[in-house]
Amino acid sequence: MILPTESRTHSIENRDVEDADLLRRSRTDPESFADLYDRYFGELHRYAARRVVGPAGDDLAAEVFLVAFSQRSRFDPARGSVRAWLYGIATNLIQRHRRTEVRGYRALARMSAEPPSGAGEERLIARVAASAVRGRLAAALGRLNARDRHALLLVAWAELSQAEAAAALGVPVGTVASRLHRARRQLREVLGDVDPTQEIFLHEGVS
Amino acid sequence: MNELDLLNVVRPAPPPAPEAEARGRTRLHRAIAGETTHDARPAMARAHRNRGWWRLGLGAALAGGLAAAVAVVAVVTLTPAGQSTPRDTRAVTATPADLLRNASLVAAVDDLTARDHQFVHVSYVRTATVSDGGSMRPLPPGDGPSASQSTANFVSWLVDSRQEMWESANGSGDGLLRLSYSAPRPLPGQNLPPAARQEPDMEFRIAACDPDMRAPSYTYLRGLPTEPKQLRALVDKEVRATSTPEDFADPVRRGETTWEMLTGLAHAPAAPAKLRAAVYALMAEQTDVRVVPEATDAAGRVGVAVARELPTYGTRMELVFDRTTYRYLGSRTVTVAANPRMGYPAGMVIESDALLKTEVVDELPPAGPHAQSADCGDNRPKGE
Repeated sequence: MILPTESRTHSIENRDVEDADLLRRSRTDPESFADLYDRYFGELHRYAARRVVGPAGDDLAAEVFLVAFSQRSRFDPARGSVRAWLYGIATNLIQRHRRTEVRGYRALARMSAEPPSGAGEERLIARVAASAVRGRLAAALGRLNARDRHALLLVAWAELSQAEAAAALGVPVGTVASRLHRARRQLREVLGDVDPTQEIFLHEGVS
Repeated sequence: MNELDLLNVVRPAPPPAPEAEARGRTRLHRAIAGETTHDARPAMARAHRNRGWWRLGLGAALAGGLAAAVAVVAVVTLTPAGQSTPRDTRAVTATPADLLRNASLVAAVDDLTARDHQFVHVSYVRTATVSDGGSMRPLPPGDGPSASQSTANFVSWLVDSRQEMWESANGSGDGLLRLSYSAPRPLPGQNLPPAARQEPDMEFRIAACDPDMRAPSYTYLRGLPTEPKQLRALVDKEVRATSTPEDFADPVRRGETTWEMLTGLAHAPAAPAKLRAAVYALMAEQTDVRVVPEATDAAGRVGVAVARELPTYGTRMELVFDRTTYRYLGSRTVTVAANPRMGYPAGMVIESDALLKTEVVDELPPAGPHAQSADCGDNRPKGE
């Protein structure tokens, strides 16, 4: 994991303080809640759309903000940032779509067995698919315990720190760390003794 | 590269479609509006519920450099207390400001960039009333469109046309306009008058003329300020310049001319996205703006419109947007009262158009042998 630089940490702290202010203001001035939408819809949508593919992913991102708006009086800044809280709401909503999500990973695993059609800038992705790493990882994601998957993907896809993921999931940081550890071990197992990096570049060289 | 990095290629993360973002925002605004009306300001909500009018202060910063705080008068359809609304996955439009904001977000995606010496090509279809006859004498003072008169002074019919226009991107050369007309149609519920005639197809070489706000060229649009405050000052200046002092002092007439000026700008297909956003922001702050939930453009596409009544003319001018994608579709002018002098019933669409395509092309198509030349008219010098 890349450690945040000092300036990045500083700007993240600023952002968290601003967000908490905005949220507090929205309790008496509900319209200011729309600013949080403008700030976070994009990234939450990207996260939701990766986890639940299709129109349900679009709806899910929008629902995060409806739920957050209706529960804004319950937000407690002592328990984490607004951003982590939004991802926590997203996680709860995704949990409702768990079957769809897992079906999506299985479909992806099957698709990766087909020859890839990607070209150009998607070359790297296509190579990964060709080596079936993508398919294996997708299948492994579908097999993970849901709680481990939430922890893993909040860190890998939403780029939350372990502390933020803990706030989002409402569990201690140590719990996130052990879920993350277990999930990563399972992924490494499906990748087998192949060094995925090696494999990708091998295929790059062949073409 | 470890397994966490590899996860990023398992499934790509596409950015949200603008319409998904716009739909989500509309749903949130609706929730905010619901709470503002029902809980936070219950007395106000009760007072206004009967009329369906409600003043909404949109404190939220508007996207795309729009005004930071815009107070608008908005029409919302309020759900009577206790009645549940079915969950609607389609777009739900609460206010003109929401609709216009969503439209400006979507417009940013379709932004055109034309280089000098290229051409902006626009195709649209248009339906307009054409009138014949009638006396040329001016109406007696106070005789408005709603005044009752026993006979129609004009005979009118509808003409559909397809229009293709090419305009030089930097105004350096002539453009081309091709018009093809369909057979005339009668007004709704009337017979086709004998005077109705089929218009011949026409082609014009159009001189590059000095543009103004009511006949904006692509170059002119690109030069306009995109900051709402600056644009507002410029629009006010134009409204003053084109109004008599009496009209400018009259809030009704001034409001009408401002709306005409703004719809003219929004109607220009090649308006840059940032300008369009600023125009929409100014439209949202006008008085008496409302949403027309169902409006069909000249191509038969059903959309939702932002509209304002022009009481002096007895009409309503509308901009029509797609209901789910918020793309600009076209514009309409609708009578709000019967106009016996022209033979128009109330609620009749007297003019509508539909934008079909806007694109940038490298060359002007060759003009046919019968192409005519159109100059700039008496008041519009040819620009160079």
